[in-house]
Amino acid sequence: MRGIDTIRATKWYQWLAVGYLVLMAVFALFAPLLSESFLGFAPNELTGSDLYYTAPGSVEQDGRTHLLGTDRMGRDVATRLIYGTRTALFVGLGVSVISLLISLVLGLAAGYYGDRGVRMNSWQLIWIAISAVVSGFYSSVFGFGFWLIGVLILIGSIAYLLGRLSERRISVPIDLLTMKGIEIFKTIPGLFLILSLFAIMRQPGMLTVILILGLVSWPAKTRIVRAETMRLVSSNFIKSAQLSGLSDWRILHRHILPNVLAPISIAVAYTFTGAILAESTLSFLGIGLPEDIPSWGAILREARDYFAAWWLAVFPGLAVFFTVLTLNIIADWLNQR
Amino acid sequence: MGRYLLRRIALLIPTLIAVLIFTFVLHTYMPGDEIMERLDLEGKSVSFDRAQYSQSYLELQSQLGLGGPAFYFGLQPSHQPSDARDIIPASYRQRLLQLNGQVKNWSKIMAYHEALQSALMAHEKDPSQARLYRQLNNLERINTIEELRSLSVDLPEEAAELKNVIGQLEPSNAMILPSLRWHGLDNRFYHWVGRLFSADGRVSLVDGVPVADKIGAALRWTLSLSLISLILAIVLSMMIALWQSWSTRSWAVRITDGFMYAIYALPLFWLATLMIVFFTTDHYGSWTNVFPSIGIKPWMLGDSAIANLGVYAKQLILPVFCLLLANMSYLTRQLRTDLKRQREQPYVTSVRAKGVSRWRLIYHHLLPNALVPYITIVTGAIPRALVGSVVIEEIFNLPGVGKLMLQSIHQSDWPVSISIIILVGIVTIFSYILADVLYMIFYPQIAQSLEES
Repeated sequence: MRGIDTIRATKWYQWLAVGYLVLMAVFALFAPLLSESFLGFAPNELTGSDLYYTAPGSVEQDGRTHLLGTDRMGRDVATRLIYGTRTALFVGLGVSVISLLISLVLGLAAGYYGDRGVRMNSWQLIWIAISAVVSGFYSSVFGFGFWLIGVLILIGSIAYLLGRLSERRISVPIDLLTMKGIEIFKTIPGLFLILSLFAIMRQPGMLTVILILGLVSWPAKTRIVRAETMRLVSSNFIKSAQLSGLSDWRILHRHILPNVLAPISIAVAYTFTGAILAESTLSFLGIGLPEDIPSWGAILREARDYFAAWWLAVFPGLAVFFTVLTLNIIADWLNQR
Repeated sequence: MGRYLLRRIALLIPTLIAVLIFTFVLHTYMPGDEIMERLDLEGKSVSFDRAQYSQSYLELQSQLGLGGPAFYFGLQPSHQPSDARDIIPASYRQRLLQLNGQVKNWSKIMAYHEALQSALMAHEKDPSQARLYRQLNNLERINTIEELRSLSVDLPEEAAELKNVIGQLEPSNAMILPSLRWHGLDNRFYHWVGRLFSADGRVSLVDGVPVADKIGAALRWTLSLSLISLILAIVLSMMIALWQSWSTRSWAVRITDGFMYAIYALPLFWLATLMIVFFTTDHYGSWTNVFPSIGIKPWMLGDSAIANLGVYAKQLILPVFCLLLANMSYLTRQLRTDLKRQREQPYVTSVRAKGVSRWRLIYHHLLPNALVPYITIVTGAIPRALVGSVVIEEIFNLPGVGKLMLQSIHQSDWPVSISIIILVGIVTIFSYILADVLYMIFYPQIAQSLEES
């Protein structure tokens, strides 16, 4: 019965939003198939030289039609829009996953252990400090690699064994450190940080873009995870789990994580939207993705070179607008439930 | 309250230091050589005269405090020198350090460096040795022993000594050991911070204009653009949200809600592009050419001040409108949600039971309470007002801070971009304090909970 109630309570625009999202996913998944069989163009194909900036509906000599016109270099706008869907969804997903992982690790640790939860004896503290410095030194000499993970595991297990040496312990203020980190991070304006990171990365590819946007968007979600975890820790069911002797790891991943995922999913939905918007803005400014990866923002940028080409200004913008609108509607829907 | 503020400000000092270090690290990884570019600005290029160029490079380097070790202390591989600032330019120094990473013997590298430099000096002025000079110049760009060796095979008899020195460079498999070094105050970070806070410490690498002047000129545009649109947005959003909670026509309220929702999702850069594409040109009929084309016209000396102001005002209409829409949709939605939430509070029932009019309820009870989050929004808008909107300034070609930032990053003009980042960072920190102070003044109960925490 609950399913039927949910369907009844769903408003028309929410149905539309879901439909649009499904359509986008289809476009993204079957971009090559769609563009080849229906439109007949490749995303970076330069068509005949007389077809620069041709209006929607103009026909090539071989009978193929440019449904939504062509750009400055004679590339088919409709094809590039479809491939742009793929880019947008890929960036949105990648950024959401990266920032979700960072915020879950930091937020759960800060919220669960607080300032007093992690206690170490002085042997452990000294060991961890020295090995952090030394492994930091060697990774700056040899470059970061997967061997670092092995070293970290080794350091961790020795630190665990050292814990048996002495029972006099000092607490490590994980919560304070995380909150300070967020405060410092929030001081530098996001767009400027992104711009300078891009300047350092001279030739950013798709993965670099995703990594940078993901690294920039963790603070807000970390705060949410931390607050939610703190609320749960003070609740009775976590207290009784702790009293019954469950391990921290089990409590965290079996009892706290599932309860944190619901509130964080809304924030992730907004991150998804924000990432798509940020990517298209960056491509619009001419920073970010390389020229041969079709992106809505990059198509829109060309409208500024030639004002008579209204199709370059209207269609990619509509795509961004509807996507953001759709995702906002879905996020708010999640929020209400 | 005073004690709380003092504690708050004291806690900000580590944040400020961390921001400085973070920005410094960002700056160190930016490509380009500041000294070289400033020498280019002064008309001294590499091909000019080797000895003289090195001398002016070293002078400028010590004047700017560059070239030394990066920080007060450092953990370095023990085979690397602690200070190699005499080797210039910086890119060449970097390559020698990379070579030493293979050889692990700095005295051998120095022998190679001296042999190479003396050979370069000896053959620089001799036109008959132009080919050898080019070969030697190429050697300066090499950072691996293997490449160095294969290139040295082609060297002629005149450079026998250099060939000999290169032959002695051998890759070593010695263990890399860390060594902790204390560098003292003469380090790059120390001088960098010093230059940051001195009046004429930084000049743009593009035109030699002091950074402070550049940012000051840009701030005029950005502040007028963002303050006008922000104030308009605050006034309009209050009016709309109040009307929405006052109105009894539910369909009208629903339509405005939907409209605000749609505008909220409207990408700013699309809106601005549509505006310039459709409303600044004749392409779509002369009636759509309503607004002046983009860009700022210079101040006309002959015309009166009022005529000039009129021209500027016209230029600002479209950008202000775009920013206004974006700000307004956000503020209205926020205030509307808060008003709604206040309406559900129990005190509303008792106020109504007393027979207070609806108007009085909204203005005297709901609005003041709903304005609490406004403090956060308005103080949060201060650093953003400083930054302006990169997108809007770029599209409408307004010479504001956002555009300056974008430009300086495109042109690798790091003194400008780093200064802007730090300025905005400091303003952001102080806007947090301002928010706290405002809360304390207007909402004592919040102040109390802040002080207790």
